[in-house]
Amino acid sequence: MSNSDQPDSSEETGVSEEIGVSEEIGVSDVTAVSEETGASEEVGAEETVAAPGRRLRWSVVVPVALLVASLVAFVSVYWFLFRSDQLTNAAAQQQAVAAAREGTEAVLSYSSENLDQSLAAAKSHLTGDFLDHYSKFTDDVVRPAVTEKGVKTEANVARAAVSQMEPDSAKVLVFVNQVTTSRDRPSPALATSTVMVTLAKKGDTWLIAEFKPI
Amino acid sequence: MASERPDVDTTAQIDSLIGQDRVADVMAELAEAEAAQAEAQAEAELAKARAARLRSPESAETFDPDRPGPEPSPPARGRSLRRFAALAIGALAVIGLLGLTAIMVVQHSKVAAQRAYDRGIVEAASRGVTALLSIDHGKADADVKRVLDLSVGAFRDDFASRSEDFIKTARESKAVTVGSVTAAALEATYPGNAVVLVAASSQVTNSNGARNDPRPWRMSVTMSLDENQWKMSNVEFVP
Repeated sequence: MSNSDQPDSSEETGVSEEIGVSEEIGVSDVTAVSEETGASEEVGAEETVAAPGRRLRWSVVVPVALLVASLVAFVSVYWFLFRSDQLTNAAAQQQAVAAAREGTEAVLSYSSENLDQSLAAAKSHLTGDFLDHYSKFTDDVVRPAVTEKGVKTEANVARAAVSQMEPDSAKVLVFVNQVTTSRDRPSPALATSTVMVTLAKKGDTWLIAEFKPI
Repeated sequence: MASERPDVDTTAQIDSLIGQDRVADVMAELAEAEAAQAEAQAEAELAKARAARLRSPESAETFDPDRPGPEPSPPARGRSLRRFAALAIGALAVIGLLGLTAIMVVQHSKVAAQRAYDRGIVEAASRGVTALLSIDHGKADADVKRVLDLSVGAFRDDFASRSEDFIKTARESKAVTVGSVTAAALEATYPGNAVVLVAASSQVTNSNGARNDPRPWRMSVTMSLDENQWKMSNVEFVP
């Protein structure tokens, strides 16, 4: 049995203690093995028994500190860089643009025929201050005007693109075309506008937090 | 005297003999004692050896797995092996974590570079649109040249062919138009090309100083890479 084999055999016997040494090592090798394993065991016993304090502490502290440091590096890079990049990548930007398009069309499309329904649908795309503002505005201004004048308006987003992208917020530049008819003016009137839509991510969905015509 | 001599001699001889005997006796005793000591030593050595053999784990009996030996070797061996295994796993974990961290950092630097690149496209489009909407009758030549410098391809050719008329009209109107970009956003990118949406406005000041209301524009500007510089290759007004 060569020296290079020795640590392996002692490892094996140590790991599988229930198997027993005699099964691992042939009987004819016993004397040769006994001398070397005996020596290594005494060293092992010395380490654990003779110097349990300082040596053991350093041999634990340094690896654990390294492990903790690399774990902290990994987690912070993952959270602040990688995850942030993932949440602002092309796919995420497409989601934001789609949400801005849908939300904008919902907010600017309503008719006297199904006002409650369309306003409720619009509100489902909104959040925060803009939701409160929109609710108040539609109740005070839009609802009376629409019911009195028989207004029907439908918005269509011509073009939209992401202007600013963060993991939990986004700004989308939206070109809106809006066709409006009313009882007084039955011929469709086209109005074009540009809106900077600020989105906020709530859970997995993007909601409109600010709606600013520019 | 002579008769006495042998006596003396005899006595001396006897004495010496006795002495010799005594010496021999003593020596014999000594030898015996020495032998006993040696024996005892040997015995002790033997006992020590036996004890050592009993104590040492590698005597033949130790290999009996059923023997409940008092030696601490299996737990000690297990402990050091567990420590070795823990260190190995820890080292692998550290290497793995640092490797993944490095990959993520490299990935992020690529993303950051792409972002900066994209910002450059949007800024170039904003500069181009501002130049296009800003014409001063006093320096119409320079203004038109500036637009041409920021253009490439079909748009540049088209604008160049109409530039003389454009300059003439600007001089005759004696107006100063100041354009500004309200917002711009990158809509799409292709290799060497990109589409930027630009919301801009222009304000015209007539020769008599009267200012018109700012006029809003919605534009879709196609940008193309021309010798490492992004230039306008197509400008559309979005109706």
